[in-house]
Amino acid sequence: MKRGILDWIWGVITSPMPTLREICGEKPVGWAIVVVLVAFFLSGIASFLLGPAPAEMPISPGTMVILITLMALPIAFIWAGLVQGAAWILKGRGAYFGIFSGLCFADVPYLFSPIIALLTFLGTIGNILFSIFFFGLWIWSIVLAIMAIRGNYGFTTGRAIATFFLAFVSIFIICFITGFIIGFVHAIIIGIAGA
Amino acid sequence: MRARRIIIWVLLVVIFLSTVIILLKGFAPGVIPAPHKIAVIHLSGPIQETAAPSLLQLSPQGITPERVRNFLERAEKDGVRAVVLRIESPGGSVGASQEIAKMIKEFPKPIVISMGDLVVSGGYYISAYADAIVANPGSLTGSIGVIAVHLNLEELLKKWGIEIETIISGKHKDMFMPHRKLTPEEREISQRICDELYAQFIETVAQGRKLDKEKVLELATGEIFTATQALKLGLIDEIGGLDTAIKRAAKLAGIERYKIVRYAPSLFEIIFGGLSEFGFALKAKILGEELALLLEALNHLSLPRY
Repeated sequence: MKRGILDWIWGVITSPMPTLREICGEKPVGWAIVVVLVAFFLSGIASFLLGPAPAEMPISPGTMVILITLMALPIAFIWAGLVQGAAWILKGRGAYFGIFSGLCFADVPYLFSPIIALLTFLGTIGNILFSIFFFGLWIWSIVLAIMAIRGNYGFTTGRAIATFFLAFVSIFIICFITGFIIGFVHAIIIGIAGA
Repeated sequence: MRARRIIIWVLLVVIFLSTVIILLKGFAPGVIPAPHKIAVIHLSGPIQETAAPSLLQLSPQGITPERVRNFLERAEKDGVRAVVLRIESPGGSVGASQEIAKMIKEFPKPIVISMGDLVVSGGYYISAYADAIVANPGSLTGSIGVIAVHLNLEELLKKWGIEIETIISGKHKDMFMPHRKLTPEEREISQRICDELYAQFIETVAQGRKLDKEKVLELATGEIFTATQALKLGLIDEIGGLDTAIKRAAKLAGIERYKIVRYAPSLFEIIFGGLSEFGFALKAKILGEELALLLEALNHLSLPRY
């Protein structure tokens, strides 16, 4: 039976494992993109327009929300690529767009961000509750991501967790290498200008 | 099945309504009652009109009337009860300083200046009309006066073998160009201009600070004062940091509980603002340092500045 977006979302919330396995098989990339864009947008507005604001923000909250939404898709593609790479290292074989769709739908918990953001109307205690619940959404999303990895590659839970963390760690390695390259290039330019 | 549909739609409606509330709170704060707000705006750098961006200097630098206008309009739109301007400036162009001072004078809510390390000359000029000025004991302020720097690049141009020929109508048309010395007559003209602008500076400080013109004249030697000295002379109102300025603003606005809102520069300024120095370094690398410096100097007009 062909499923609609609401059916997928309901399935991710109520019976995540079979639903995510199905999503990884069906690869509803279009709906996955919609989910991830909406999830990033809603979590962005919850965090920056109403959530406890960071002490010093370098750019305005509205700009931040727009940036986060625009970055959603590139981040989703890159993250799926990293997971695919990590799974390949652990000898898993699965479709890239399968894991891409699965990981996008793993962001479904963030659709609830606006609701928990309303807690901030309660003042300081509300801000604390918001932070706790938002952390809960994050954990829920990680669990769903691991289920998606299981579903796409046929891994055991342990191997799926290992894949997730390997992909996560690779972000830091890539950031480190990128920072090193940027610093190196910057030093060369400054050196040339100063010479 | 039907129950599931109902639950899904209820959830969607709740999420939608929550989103609407958040967007209203974030972008139309008047719709939903909010605590009182005090805006804190940071302004630092030389005071100048918007610099036309060139290839290598991609964004205007410093304190410009446009930036100040944008911030104050945003503060007014957000319904703030008072504004604190945190200023750090060595001064700058006369016109821009006067325009900013007028904006501060005409702003309908209380404005308190919180001085950084150095707020002198034009920086003090724009502060004069604020409702209160607060500075740290070691902040430096004052330097009430006018300066016009005329560069004479005659020898440097000769060294480079560059000859400049000007064709002018009006004998003093090229008096601000740096390719020659000022004649005695031109020096007098420049002095008259400085004197006129000096009188305007004194008038502004006297009006803004509600001081006797004679007293301001005595202080207007171009001297820099510490904040503690400035307090005794009536040039500032209180010793303290940003927190003190915020509390003062709250008192002037007649509010006890408030939220601080900080206005940030645009993403464009964040990304491209830092490139202007890089731009000069690159220019120097391409053209050679001396030629790059010469180009910068040729673009300098010896106009009076606060």
